[in-house]
Amino acid sequence: MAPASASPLASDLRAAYLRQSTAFCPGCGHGIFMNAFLRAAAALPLDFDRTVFVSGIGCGAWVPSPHFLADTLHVTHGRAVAFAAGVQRARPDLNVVVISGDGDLANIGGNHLIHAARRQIPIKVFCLNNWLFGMTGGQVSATTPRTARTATTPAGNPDPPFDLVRLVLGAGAPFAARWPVSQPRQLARGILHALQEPGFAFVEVLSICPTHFGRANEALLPGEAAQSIPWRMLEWLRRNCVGRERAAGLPPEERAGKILTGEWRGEEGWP
Amino acid sequence: MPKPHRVTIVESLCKGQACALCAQVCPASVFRPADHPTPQGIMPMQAAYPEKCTACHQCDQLCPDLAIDVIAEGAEPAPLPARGGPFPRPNPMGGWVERPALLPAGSYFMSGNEACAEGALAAGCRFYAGYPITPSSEIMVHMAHRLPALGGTFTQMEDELGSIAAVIGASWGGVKAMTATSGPGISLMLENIGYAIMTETPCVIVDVQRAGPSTGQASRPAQGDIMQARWGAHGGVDLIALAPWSVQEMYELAIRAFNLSERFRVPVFLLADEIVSHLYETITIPPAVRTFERVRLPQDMPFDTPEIDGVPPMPAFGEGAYLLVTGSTHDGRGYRRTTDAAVQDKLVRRLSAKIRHHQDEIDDWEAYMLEDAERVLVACGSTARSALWAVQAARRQGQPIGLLRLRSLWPFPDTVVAAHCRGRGEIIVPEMNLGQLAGEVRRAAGAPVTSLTQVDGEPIDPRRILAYLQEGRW
Amino acid sequence: MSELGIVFAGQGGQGVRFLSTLLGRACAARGKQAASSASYGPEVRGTFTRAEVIISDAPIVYPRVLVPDVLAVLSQEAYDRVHRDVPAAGVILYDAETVVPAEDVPARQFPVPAFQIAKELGAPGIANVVLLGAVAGLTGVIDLAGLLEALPERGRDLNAAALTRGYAIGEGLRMP
Repeated sequence: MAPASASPLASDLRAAYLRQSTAFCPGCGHGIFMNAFLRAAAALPLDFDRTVFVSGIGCGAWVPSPHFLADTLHVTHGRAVAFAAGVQRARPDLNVVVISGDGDLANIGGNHLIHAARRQIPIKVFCLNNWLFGMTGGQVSATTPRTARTATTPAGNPDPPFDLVRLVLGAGAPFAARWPVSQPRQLARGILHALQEPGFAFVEVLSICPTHFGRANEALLPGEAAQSIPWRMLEWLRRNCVGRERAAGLPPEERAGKILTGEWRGEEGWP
Repeated sequence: MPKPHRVTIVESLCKGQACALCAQVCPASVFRPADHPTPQGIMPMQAAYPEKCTACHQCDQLCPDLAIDVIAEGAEPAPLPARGGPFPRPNPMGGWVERPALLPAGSYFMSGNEACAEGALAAGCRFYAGYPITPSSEIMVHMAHRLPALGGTFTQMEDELGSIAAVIGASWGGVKAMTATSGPGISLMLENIGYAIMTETPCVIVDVQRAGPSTGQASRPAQGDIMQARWGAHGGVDLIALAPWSVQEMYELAIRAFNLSERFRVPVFLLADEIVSHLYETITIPPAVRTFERVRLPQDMPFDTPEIDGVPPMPAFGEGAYLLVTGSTHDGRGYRRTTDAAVQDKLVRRLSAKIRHHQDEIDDWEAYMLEDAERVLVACGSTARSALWAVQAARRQGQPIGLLRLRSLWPFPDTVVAAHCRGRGEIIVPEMNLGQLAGEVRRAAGAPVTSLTQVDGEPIDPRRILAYLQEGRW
Repeated sequence: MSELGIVFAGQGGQGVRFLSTLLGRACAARGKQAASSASYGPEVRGTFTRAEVIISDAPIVYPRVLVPDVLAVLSQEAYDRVHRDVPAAGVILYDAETVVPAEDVPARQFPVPAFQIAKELGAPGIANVVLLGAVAGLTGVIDLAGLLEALPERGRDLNAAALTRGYAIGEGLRMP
């Protein structure tokens, strides 16, 4: 029996929304996000002809530029949200979407991010968090988990990471969400919700970097050597992410160390 | 027996076994690695057993490369929303227009900072992003009051990095945009000024120079940013800088800065100083203003021209040009070419040549009593007023002295300086820094150059220059 | 008239800058060239402040006052700092109540009861405006009507009264 609700073909999505084939490493989580984003955009629909995609520097920034067949603004490292604020304020008739990485948005660009959240500038910000600086060779970022190994924390990261959802909610964001790429349908639905928000919306996408984070931390990954590192990283996400509603019913010992996923409203206060 | 679902992988897109997410997510073992490499040298995955497919769609929705199509038997894939216009394309040809000034024509008494803001508004500036800093803040305050009623946008950003970023973003939105700051703010803006150079984004940056380095003396004048404006952004490509000496010129050169910026698609500096910015003077607002409107032509390449020194047209966001704006090295359409030597060379050379080869449109100066002058003062900005005072006083005493006042500083008007200085007995360059202008003049003048520097945060007293002319004492 | 250079000096918050711009604006409206600037420390209030204006029929080359023709001061500190800049041909107007003038000064010096009049008008904060009226009346650089026209809307009546009182005092000090 055929499924009741059909979904667009990937080849149709490519023809309609992409300029070129993907430029990512094998199994890159950013590609999974891109797939989910295009499905959400098609479902909403998000009018690519009336949308400006802004991105900074890093692998995550490559998702819209050069891939998306739309107006794209690929800017200096860390400044994507500030450029986006300028576009949005000058052209409120256009949708403005920021897609960039954790290093770009949370390390070097953190100030712009919290101020855009505070001012509730009606842009949508998707932070592709792969837990380190991928493009430059896997250095520690503001979201690298404590003790994780990176090129610049060979003995394990001594510092705690940002909780980006708490960060933007604390700054005044009316909407923030966190979704892993390990659940692409849920992710696409979450992207769709964020795009529907009238005001500032922030989504932390828990992505994966098999090339740098996966190799450096292979010992921490579940699964077997026969499985690909991307798959084992997705498996890690599946095991360690728990929906905020479900988490509310779990005993503390089962919640400990888990990453909460879901959607938060500013008026709820901090998660 | 029901017909099988159709599962296809575009092999040229597949990244192969290092990914293999499809094979691992598939509950029905449809996939396996192919036994032949792609032209890229990757062993792609293939849908070896499509008959096992249950059309659960886990693979095509997880594939990072959008390489997998699953068509369930009896179900049509969801159609995609239509794309493509109609697009608004206002005034695609652009060019010079005359428009009425915003303020009623007549005589006014206003500060340099106000006049600068009014000039920008008259030129068509409708977006301002900024961050407070002495001695430029009045420009921002004036814009905050004036822009909303003109249908424009004012936004105070979190820092100067954000200010110039917002300005560039707004400019790509099709709006004439500016910011104003002082040395410390310029230092923060420089990376994105380089971005504006690389992306050929028109914008105006007012630098009200104050005494540095660092925080220095916030309310005291200087001319220490001349070299910073030209060479501050890495890469060393040309831009344009103008230097007003009066409140009247804060108005006029703000207009000219926008015109040059739109004409050449380049950031333009208005290199003011604390003296002219806080000075109140009588100024005359003419009834009309001539402005250059951006050439948009969305069908053309926005980042290259057939000429080696051309200025490409610049469509705005939302006009169907599907712009690829990037600070990385790019081809004429905007595609990144980050390892292509020829593209890099051609782009960098054109970015400079489009300015250098049109210097006759940019060079701006005034000559005072130069015909018979044996010695020539060369100065810019408010220092040129001290210099002119000294020249007039020396002339009254019979000394054959003249003044060349540079109103455009970058690209440096070499031919102008050479034409007026070559063969003279002495070229004297007073300035409120340690000799930045003198160095350029020395390079171009073809005559001996004396550098008179003052860095005490005070205006140069014209009597000091006169004393030098009379007694050679500084 | 060639160029007339006027320096106003006082403490931050006394409205010294207001005087120079008001006089400049009034003269500009009468078709004259005017250039006015101020210098003060980064602290906006409570320190020595100096503002100046040049009025001229011809374009003003150097926009700052090199030698004051008139100095008007509202505080002792301002007087002490600036009065030596005024040459013998110049004039110093000082507030009669707050300034004790030096004796060995080549310039002519006149007290103006600026604070006194301001208090009589019920607004001690407009002593500065009384002093401006006196400067205008003394120099004749602008007629009283021109000065009144340049007043901002806010506080117009009080300022007009202060200017008028000061102007009459200034006229009385003109050289015969």
